[in-house]
Order: sequence, then C-alpha cells, then structure tokens
Amino acid sequence: MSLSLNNITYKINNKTILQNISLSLDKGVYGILGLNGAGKTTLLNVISTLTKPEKGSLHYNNADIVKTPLVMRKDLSYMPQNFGLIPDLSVTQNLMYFGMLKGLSSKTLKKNIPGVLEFFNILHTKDAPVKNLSGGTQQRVALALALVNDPKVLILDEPTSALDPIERINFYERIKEMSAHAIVLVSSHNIYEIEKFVDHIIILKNGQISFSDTVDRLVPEAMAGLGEPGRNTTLNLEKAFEYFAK
Amino acid sequence: MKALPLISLYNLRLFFKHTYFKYILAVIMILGFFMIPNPKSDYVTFTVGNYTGTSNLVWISNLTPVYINAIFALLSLFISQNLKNKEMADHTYINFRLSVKSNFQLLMYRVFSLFLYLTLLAFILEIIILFINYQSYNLGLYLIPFLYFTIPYLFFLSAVCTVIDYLVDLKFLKYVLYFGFIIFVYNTSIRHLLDITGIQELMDNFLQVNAKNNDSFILGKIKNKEVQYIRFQHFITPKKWLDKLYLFPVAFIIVLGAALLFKRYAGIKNKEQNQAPAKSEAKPLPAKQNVYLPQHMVYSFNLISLLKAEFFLLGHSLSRNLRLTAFVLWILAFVAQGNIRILLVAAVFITILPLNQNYLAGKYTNNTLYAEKISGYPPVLFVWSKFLLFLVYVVIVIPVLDYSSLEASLFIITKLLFLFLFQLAYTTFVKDYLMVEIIMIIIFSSYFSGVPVYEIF
Repeated sequence: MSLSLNNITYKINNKTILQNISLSLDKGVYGILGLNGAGKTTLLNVISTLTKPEKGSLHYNNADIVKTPLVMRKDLSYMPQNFGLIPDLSVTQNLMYFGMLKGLSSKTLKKNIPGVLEFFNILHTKDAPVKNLSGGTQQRVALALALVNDPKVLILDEPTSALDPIERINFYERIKEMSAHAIVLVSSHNIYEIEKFVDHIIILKNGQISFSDTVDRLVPEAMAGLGEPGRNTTLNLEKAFEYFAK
Repeated sequence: MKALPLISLYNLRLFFKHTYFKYILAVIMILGFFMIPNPKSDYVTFTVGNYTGTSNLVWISNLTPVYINAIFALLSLFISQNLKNKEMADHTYINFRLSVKSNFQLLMYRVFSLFLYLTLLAFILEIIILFINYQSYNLGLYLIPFLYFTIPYLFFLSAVCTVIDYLVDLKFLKYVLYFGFIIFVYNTSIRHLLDITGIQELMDNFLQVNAKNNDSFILGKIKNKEVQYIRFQHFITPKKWLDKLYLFPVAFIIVLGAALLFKRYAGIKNKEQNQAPAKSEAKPLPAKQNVYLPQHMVYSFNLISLLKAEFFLLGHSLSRNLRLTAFVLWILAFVAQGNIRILLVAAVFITILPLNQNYLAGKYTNNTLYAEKISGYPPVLFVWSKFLLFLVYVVIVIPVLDYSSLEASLFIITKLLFLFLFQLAYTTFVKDYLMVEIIMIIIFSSYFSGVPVYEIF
C-alpha cells in the first residue's frame, strides 16, 4: 500500500497555497503540522481527492488518483474540521447514512455501529440528535464515522480538538493500531499531542514542506539549523517546531 | 446606530431560519388567497351592511392591506414569540447583556428586524394576490393603500410584539397581553378614534358611496348571492397621512417605555445555560480501553446501494409527525371529492416542504458535501439518485390523476418533473433552498384561492 505526491501545486486566485509538495507515504501515522494558514487543510483536501491540484500528480497503489479518484475513495475516510454531520439526524442515523455512502450495506453497518460507538464511549447517545450533543461528543461521533468502514487511508483534520486528555490518548492508541494496515494522516497545531503517536512528522511553512522525517530527527535537525547543540528536551521540541514552522 | 444593520440582519436571519418559516409563509398565503377572493369566487369576505365591493382592481387594492393587517394580527405573536429564547439558545443573547448600547437601541434593532420580516411577507402576499387576480394593472396606484394602511401598522405591531416577547417571560401573560392588544385595535370606539388597522377608512368608503350603510362590518365567508355590490372607482389615497404616520412615534414611545422597564439580567437563569445536553449524555461512561474490530466489511458501489442510502436520507428528512400528517392527508385525498381532493394533495406538498432543506440542499447547508465527493460512487449517480424525490411526487398525485385519460395524467407528471428539475437545479447551483421553498409555497397555497399560479393538477 502506498500513496505518493509528486510536485503538487495548488493556487487560489493566483495565490499559491501549496507549492511543489512531494511525499511518499506508506503504512503508518503521519502528523501534519504548521501554523494557521500554512496549508494543512488544503494538503489534506488534495490528498483526499476533494480538491484537484493545479500541477503535480497523486498515486495510490500506482494508480493516478487525480484522473481516477474512485480508485482510492473506496478505501478512504476523511474527517473534516467541522465534523461533517447532519445535525437533525441521530448519531446512529448519521453513521448509517454516511456509512452507506462509504459503500457498506445497512446490514453490515448495523453490526458494526454499536462497536465503534462503544469504542468512543458514546453508545449511550446513539438515539440522540447530533445537534443536542456537546462539541466533544459530536467530534467523537465524527471519529466513529471515520473508522466505521475500516479505511485503508484515513485523513483526520484536527481530530482531537474537542476531546479530553484521556479520550485523546485512547484515540491515538487506536489510530496507532490501525496504522499497521493503513495510512493515517493527522493534522494538528500541537506537537506535544501527537509526538508520541506519529511515526513521521511533516511540517508545512507557507505551503511548502519545511520538515519531513521521523519525530526523533526533528530536534537534532532544528538544533543543527540553529547552530545549537542538540538537547532532546521539551523546550527544544517546541523550539524545533517553531524553527521549521515560522 | 452603526450596529443597527448587523444586529437587525442577524435577527432577520433568525426569522428566516426559523423552523416554522415555511409554514408561516404557507399559512399567510392560504389565508390571503381565501380572505381576498378572486373575481371568479362565489363568495365574498367583507361586507358593510349588506354591501361589498365589486371585485375589481380598486376594490382588491383597498381590501388587501386591511386583510393583511388582520392576518398579521393573528400571526405576529406566533412569528415573534421566543425570539429572546432563540437568542439564548444560540448563545448570542450574551451580547445583548454585555452590550454598551442602551436598552432602547437594542430593542429597536429587534423591532426593525421584525418589521422588515413582516413587511417582506406582506409584500409577497400583496404582489401574488395582484398577480393572480389581474394581468394588467397600475402597480403604483395599487401599492398606495398598502403603503398607507399596512406599513405603519406593521411597524406598530412589530414594536408591540417585540416588547411583549422581551419583557414578558410567562407565556400565558404574553397571550393575554397580545390578544388584549388585538381587541383594543379592533374595538369600535378605538377604531373611530384612531383607525389603527385601516378598517374604518375602508368602511367610510362605503358610506361615501351609499349613505344607507350602517356602521357594522362582517368578516367571513358570505355567499355572493346574498350581498349587493358597489363598484368602487377610486383607490383609497392618503388624504390624511398623519392619521397613519402617528403610529411610528407611538411605536417609539412604547419601546422607550419598555426599555425603562427592561432588566437585561432578568429571566436568564436556566435559560442561557449551554443548550441542554441529551439526557443520555449527562452521565458519560468512564473512559476505558475498548477495542473496535470491524466485521464483515463488504463494499458495494452501484446505483441500487446508493438508492438505499438516499432513500434512508429521504425517509429521515421529515420528522415522524410530518410523515404521519402527510400520509393522513394523502389517504384522505382518496376519499375526498372534487376541490377538496385537490386541496388535500396541495396540503401534502406543503407538508413535505422540509425535504428542500434537509434532502436536496442539506449537503450544502450542513457542510456534508465532502462525504459525497470522496464517496466511491461516481458523481453522476448522486444526480440520478435524487430522482427519488420525483417518484415521491408521482405517488403523492395518484389521487388526482385522471385514470380515463393517459394523456392528462402524463401531463400532470410532466409538470411535476419540471417542478422537480427546477428544485434540483436551484439547490445544486445556488446551494440554498429558500427561494425554492417560497416558490413552492406560493404554487401550492395558491390552490386554496381556486386559481393556482402554476396548475399542476
């Protein structure tokens, strides 16, 4: 299983949002970091085939998914920042409808929905309209929806912003388990939140990749760039992120 | 007053986004079409003594604003009530409390928004009635009675409704005050003295033409064989503008008085809390190490499986009560005869109006288009799948199909197809549903006038 981006460029009104992005992704968890406006969401939209790049190519298992996006969409789950749920429908109804759009039958969904809701501790809200739930619970519903079809490519745009610390740990542990047979892309503002769970960090700066490597390499490379001796401390991790993101 | 447009527009948006907007508009249209009979109707609704006006443009233009005032008197409390509660639920009432603006200004912003909303609804009704009844007309003269009778009255009404909604928390007291106000403005003595609704001026017109008329009027359905007609030649023009313009300063004074009494912090306990979570959410389960193991993952991306998904969404785009109401009306249409059958089918279409918002335009208004875009289904299948709604329409019109003429039945279905294609095109390209709903309300409520704007069945 592989996903590769070659020289992806994307512009809006002649403003470059992404420039010459090239990545090669295999099974594992990839953290996409960057300041506001760095291009994280746009990059995720391009990878998830929601947005067509102006230049460059995307390949999933050697198939060109700019030209034939359906090849990857069958294996894809995407969770947008705004959760993307229908407020008037109940939790179960949301999972049923969107699950069917993911190609699953109602029979399969009825078997799997209780399990995924239980995983996020929201089984007790299954009949409640989504609009009546708190932001944190809505996010858990959106995450349950993202996992319900056992995706091979999972794209999550700031997935834990409304979760409490215990739920975040639970969530990332599950994501880590999933990455044994899936490509998982997670965007975040917070490096401390994801550093323990991601295999690879990609930092964006003004639409370009400023760092792409394992977490272990982040601090030494930043320190080398700053001309300071590498000290693997919390302060240095933050400094390292700032060095590549600002 | 710089913030007036923003706050007023926000409140105006609340009215349009109100769950009941479509039904309010439908009720207004149905009442309007019924109360202002078209020239072919066999009944009249307004008599003074035993006289009524011959149905011509002059009579319609004089009668319509007076009836609009009566319709809004009946509906305004319903339209405006709970605006304060809605602001609290949206967490925007906090801005009201913390604002540096005075109570008077803040209340006036809300009065303006309600006034704009009522005026827009009234104007739509006014124009539709004119359009249905007459094909050639003098729009300028036709609208003068509307400007004269209705605009000042609606401003006054908006002030009263806003003040009642924001000052009074007890529902029962709200109703008592509001209906007390309605009785006050239609009271004979007050009518002679102030003529807030314009009804006295309309009656005076009769007295000028025929002095034998007495001073009582009847509002209601009266067979036209039982009345005598007077042909009016002149539009009611504002001879004494001040008679109606005084309503503006009176409205300001009412709001000013209310502003002095209004306590921003009163009645907020238990209301401005975060929206109550679902009962089941109140006691979340403790976090634990669950495992989710997906089972029997079989994927299918053909038209049939998509139709199942769309049918699921269609079925859940109407509340259970609306589904039941539509079904009962539809069943009744089979046993009803003639015009009643047609009206029942039109009522079914009005009942299922939320499908525009929830089914056709939901993916845009709820920001869920992404799910469709990244789905494994080819995009064209989504377009075809929406034709489920057209099939629903065909089922709805079964009671009014002409089984003796295949051609006539196909004609009905073709016109439904045009309606559906318009809905689909509008919601897809404009990514909204409001205009479609308004047009459908006008189409189906105009059946109650006996002269449908667009005769489908």
